Amino acid sequence: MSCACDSSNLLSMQYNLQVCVECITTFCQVLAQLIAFPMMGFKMNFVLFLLVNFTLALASTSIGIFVGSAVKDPNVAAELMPALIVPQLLFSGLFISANLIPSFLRWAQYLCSLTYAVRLVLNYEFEDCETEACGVLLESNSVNELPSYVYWIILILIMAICRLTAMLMLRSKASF
Amino acid sequence: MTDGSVKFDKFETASSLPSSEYEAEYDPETNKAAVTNSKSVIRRNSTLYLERDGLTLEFDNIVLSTRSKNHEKNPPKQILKGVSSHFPAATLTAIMGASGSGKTSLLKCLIGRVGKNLDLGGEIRLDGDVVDPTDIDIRREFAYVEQEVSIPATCTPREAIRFSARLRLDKSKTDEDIDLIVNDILDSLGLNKCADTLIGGGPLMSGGLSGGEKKRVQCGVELVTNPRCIVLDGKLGIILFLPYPLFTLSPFAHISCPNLFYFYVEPTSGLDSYTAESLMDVLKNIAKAGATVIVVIHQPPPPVVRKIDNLLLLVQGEKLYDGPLGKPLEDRFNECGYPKPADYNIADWILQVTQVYTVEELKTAGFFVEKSKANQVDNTKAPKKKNQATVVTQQVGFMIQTRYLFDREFKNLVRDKLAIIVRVGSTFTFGLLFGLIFLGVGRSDYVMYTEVQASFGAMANLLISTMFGVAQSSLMEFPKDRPVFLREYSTNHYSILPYFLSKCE
Repeated sequence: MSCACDSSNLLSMQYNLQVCVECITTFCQVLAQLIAFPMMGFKMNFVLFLLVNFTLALASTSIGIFVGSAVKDPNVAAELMPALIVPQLLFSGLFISANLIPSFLRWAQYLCSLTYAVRLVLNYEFEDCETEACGVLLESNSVNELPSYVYWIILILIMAICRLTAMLMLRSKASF
Repeated sequence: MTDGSVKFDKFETASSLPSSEYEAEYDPETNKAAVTNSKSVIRRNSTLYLERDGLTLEFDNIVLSTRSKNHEKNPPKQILKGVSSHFPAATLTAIMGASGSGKTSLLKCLIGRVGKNLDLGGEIRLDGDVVDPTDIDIRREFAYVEQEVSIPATCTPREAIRFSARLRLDKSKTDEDIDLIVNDILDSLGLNKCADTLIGGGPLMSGGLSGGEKKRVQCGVELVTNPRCIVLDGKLGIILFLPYPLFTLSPFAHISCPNLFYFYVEPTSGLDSYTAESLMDVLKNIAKAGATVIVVIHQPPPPVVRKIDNLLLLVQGEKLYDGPLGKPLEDRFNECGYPKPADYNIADWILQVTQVYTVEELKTAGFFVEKSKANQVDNTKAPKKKNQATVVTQQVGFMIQTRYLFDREFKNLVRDKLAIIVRVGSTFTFGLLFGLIFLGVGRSDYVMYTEVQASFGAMANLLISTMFGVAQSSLMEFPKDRPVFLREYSTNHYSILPYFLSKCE
């Protein structure tokens, strides 16, 4: 009895893993927003952009989970939101080139998952562009500082580390 | 097991009631009510009432106070001032007292859930052995039904109880056994009518079960394991002062203030007084089966009072009365000069006495003086159970835990449709807006720097809005589910990895 039972459980477990619940909503959300992609008419591959976007989404949910596990109250969590996101905007290079930020603060860009995602999409969009303007943009965002695959790895590492620490934190809370 | 034998016969309770007003017999040795021949009383086959060896919970001189660095300026506040008592197995003990008298604090001390910012002193013994209640193994001996209901809103009562049963009972039980047990519990707790209704609650899931039904579901979730010690916390009396509309909104349980519910919330049905009584019936029967049952009640109606074996009455962190209800209690109050008026319910009267008179007045009247023989339970004589062969429950494995958690998450997702619609809908609208603003920026040949900058802006915008969209919901996810997680994890439902996997976005 137990054998048959176990194997069927295993199957349905695999099934359940595939429908990894929240994954779907995050994906739907990312996809829904990319209605803008064809309208904007970029040169890069849509699937590639979707992937970068999705990985960034996963990394930022991980940070959300990390902070969410640390605080008790949903309201406190909501208040912390801007504190997590706004610094990332400032370091993304959109408003000011990272090279112009004073050097004693510049390192902070490497803590932001957004930095890596931005570098990836810029690389894919402008890699075939020969004009001077493209060169300036790539240069000012230090896109070629590291090869692209390193950026991918870093994004995934951020994800893993945040989730792991969050898990440990929650466990220590459970035995308060 | 056939259906007929499992069924909980409500009428049997009435016929099995002893003729005397109080069910327990008074044991002068320990000044405690003791249920004699408890095992013979049970005639029901419900799985809830499986016989078990309860644990005798004793505690000495429990002191609890707030911590302060500066004693001069900010003297620490004493919450409990040396409370000692013992709760024997196979009895139902009620802790009563006015709001703020330390009922819940005492309970939390005993089951190791005191906050780290409080100073706790005293000794707690289980079956004669001194224990550290914060030890997770000790904590798992107690089934604790909290004041706050912490059941996921998108489950039905049947699913919530089955979840607990499958993950906590022995893995040799087949799914059919589990279903039988679940049906039986739903039946005993009077949850049949709402067994397949979503529990509800929270901002997006209005409606659902009433406060009392939720409370009973939570009881069911804890009672599944046939615990040896059950600790049930009602609601504090602060709700007494809530105006009627607010009161109906609040998820307060019937057990804590059945009178109020009866009068203010459902004036026509009178169902809730009955509900509280039937829940008490269940607890009483579990106590008869050998378990130690401890209930915090605010103001019980007479039918509920009759089910109580022992009473611990607290006044501002001190023990005013500790012993059986009925004659000894009334005698004690007579002795000290506060005889119960004929038209008063005893529970109402003693609470009124503790609130109207100051502690000093009560002290002069002769309360708080320990009777010499009372509660001096000799440690060496503490009855050690002989056949204490601890039955190790083999829980279901990692796979099944993960599956059940995934199942629940998935249902949560499907049933909480509004949340998804809002999330996806709003990002879609934002996407459309961005698309229109940055229409065709990528189709230029990137000669001018402004063109490049526009493309960069468009991409960065999309990425940033993705971050905002998903971080918001994930940030809220854990704090929202935290009470559910803490309850389930600390009561041994699952290990932490399956939980995290099920939450993996």
